[in-house]
Amino acid sequence: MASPTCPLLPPPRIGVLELHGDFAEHTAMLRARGAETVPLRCAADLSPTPPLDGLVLPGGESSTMAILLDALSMADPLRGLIAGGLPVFGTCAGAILLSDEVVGKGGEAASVALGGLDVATRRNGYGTQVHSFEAETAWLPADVAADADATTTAPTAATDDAGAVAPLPTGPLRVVLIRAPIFERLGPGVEELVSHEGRAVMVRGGSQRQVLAATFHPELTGDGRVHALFLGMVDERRRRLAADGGGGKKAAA
Amino acid sequence: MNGHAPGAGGAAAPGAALDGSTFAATARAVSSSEEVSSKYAVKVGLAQMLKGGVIMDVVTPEQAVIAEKAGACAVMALERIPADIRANGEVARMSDPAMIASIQAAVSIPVMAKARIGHFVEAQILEALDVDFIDESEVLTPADEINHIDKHDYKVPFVCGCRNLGEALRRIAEGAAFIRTKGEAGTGNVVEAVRHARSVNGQIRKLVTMDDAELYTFAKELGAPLELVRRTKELGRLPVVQFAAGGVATPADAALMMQLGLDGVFVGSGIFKSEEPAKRAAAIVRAVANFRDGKVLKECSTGIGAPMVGIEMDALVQKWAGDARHDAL
Repeated sequence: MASPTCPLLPPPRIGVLELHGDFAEHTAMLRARGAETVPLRCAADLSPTPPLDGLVLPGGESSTMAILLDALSMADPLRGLIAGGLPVFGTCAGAILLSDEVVGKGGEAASVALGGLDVATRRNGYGTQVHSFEAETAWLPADVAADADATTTAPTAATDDAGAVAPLPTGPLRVVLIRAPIFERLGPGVEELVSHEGRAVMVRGGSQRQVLAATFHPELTGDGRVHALFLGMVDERRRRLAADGGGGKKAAA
Repeated sequence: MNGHAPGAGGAAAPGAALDGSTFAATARAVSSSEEVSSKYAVKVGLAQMLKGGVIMDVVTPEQAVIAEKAGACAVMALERIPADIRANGEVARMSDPAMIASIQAAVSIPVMAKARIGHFVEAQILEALDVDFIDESEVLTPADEINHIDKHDYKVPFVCGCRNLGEALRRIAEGAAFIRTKGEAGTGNVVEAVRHARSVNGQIRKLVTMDDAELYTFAKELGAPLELVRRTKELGRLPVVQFAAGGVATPADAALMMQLGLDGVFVGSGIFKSEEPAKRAAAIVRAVANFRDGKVLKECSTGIGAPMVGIEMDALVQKWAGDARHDAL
C-alpha cells in the first residue's frame, strides 16, 4: 500500500512507543490508515533501517513511561529525533512527555521527560477518574488556529518549499478525556486545533511545527481524522526532504 | 498487543481485532442503554491506559511513593497486604478511608481500593473518596455469598477477579470494566494465577472454533450472557482488559503472565514482603515492559534481593480463589 496522502511515497514508517499504555490502539489506527508501524521497546529500536518517518507516544501513565525511557536509555535519542524535526504525536501521557513544562499534583514542578512543545501542562488537570468524561466538541476553524499562530515569524513554515499544507479537518469531534492533563500555558507559535469548554485539548507546535499533542484519546473513539492529520504532517516532511534532495539540511536548521 | 497470546490463536490478526473502540463497544453487548454504554466507555478507557503496566499493593504513603518512583502505573491502597491478612485469619474489610486518602495525597498515579464482594455500601464510600478504581475482591471476606455489586450504577470503574471465562463474562455483564485472574493472593506462588489464565485462554480457544449454533449451549454452560460470549468469539480474547493477579513475586513470574497473553500485572505481597522492595518493584516494571526479551529479563532478575517466602498450595489453610463460597458467584 502507498502512503495515504501521496501515492508516490511508500507507506510511512511510524515508531510507536510500546513500553506501557494504549499503544495497540494507536497501532491499529495507524495501520488502518496505511502506515507501517515499528514497535519501540529499547534504544536500538529507535534507529531502524529504513529510518522512522514519525513517532507516536501513547496514553498511559506518564511517570511510568518517563521512568522506563530513562532506564532503557531511550530519552536522549528520542529528544534528538524530535529536535531534528521528526513529526511526533502524543496523546494524554504522550502529550505530557512532550511538554516543556510539567506541573504536578500540588502545583509543584514535575520533571520534564522529553520536551519539544512549548506548553505548560498540568497532570490530572481535571482530577481523578470520576471526573473523566466523553464530550462532543468541534475542530477549530483554520483561521482561528492561524490567528493563534500570528505571533510567530513563520506562520506557514510547513508550506514554504514543497507542496501545500494539509488542510485541517472540520466539523464535530467526539473526545474522551481520561484523568486527562490540561495545557495551562501555550507558548508563542503553538496552534490550538481543538478546544473543549474554552480549553485547548489538541495543539500543534515545536521548532518545525512537527509536534502534535492531544489531551484526549482519538485512538479510543475510532475517528481516524486525528491520525490522518498526523500522517499528513509526516508526508509533508517526507516531500520536503525529497525536494531537498533527500538530505537532512532542513532537519539541521 | 498479544500477538503471542494463546487466546488469540485462530482469531483475526491481533492488531486488527483490537481496534481503538473495541473495548468501548463491549458496552453495547452489556447494555442497550446509551447512558450506560457512554459511561462504560470512559471506564474501560482507564483500564486501556493501564495496559503493559504493574499495579502494586501498598499499605502506607511511603510505600506508594516507592511504587510510583519504581514506575507502577497504579497502586492498590489497603490496610494490610494479603500475606498479613492470611496470617491473621480475621474478617477482612474495606480499608480506613483516612488511610486511602493519605495514599491518594502522596501520589499522582491512579489509586485503587478494595471493597468486599457484594458490599455495595463499601463501594459507595470508595466512590465518595474519589478512588480511581474499585476492586471487588475475594481477598476480603465476602459480604454476599450469592450476588456481586451492580457495577453499572457507579461512576468509578470496577475490577473483578475470575477463575474461568464464565466468571469473567458474568462480572463484565454486571459492569466490571477490567478483569484480573484470581490467583491465590498473599502466597508468593504463581500457580493459581497460571491455572486461571490458562483456563480463560483455553475456553476462548474452544469458543473461537465453535459454530454459531453452538454458542447458545456454550453460553448456558458458562452461565454467561450470549451477547458477551459472541463478542468474545469475534475478538478471540476477553472483551475488556485482563491483568494477572495473585502470587506474582518475581520479574520472571510477571513476564510469564504477560507471555500467557495477559495485558498487565497486579503485584501484592510480592514487593513489600521482599528483601529490597524498591529494586524488586522497578525490576518487575521493566520485566513487564520487555516481557519477551530474555536479556532484559536476565538483567531484571539479577541482584534484586530475596523474594518473599512462598507458600505451597497444599500447605494453605485458607484458599481464597478456591473458596467454595465463590462457586455460586
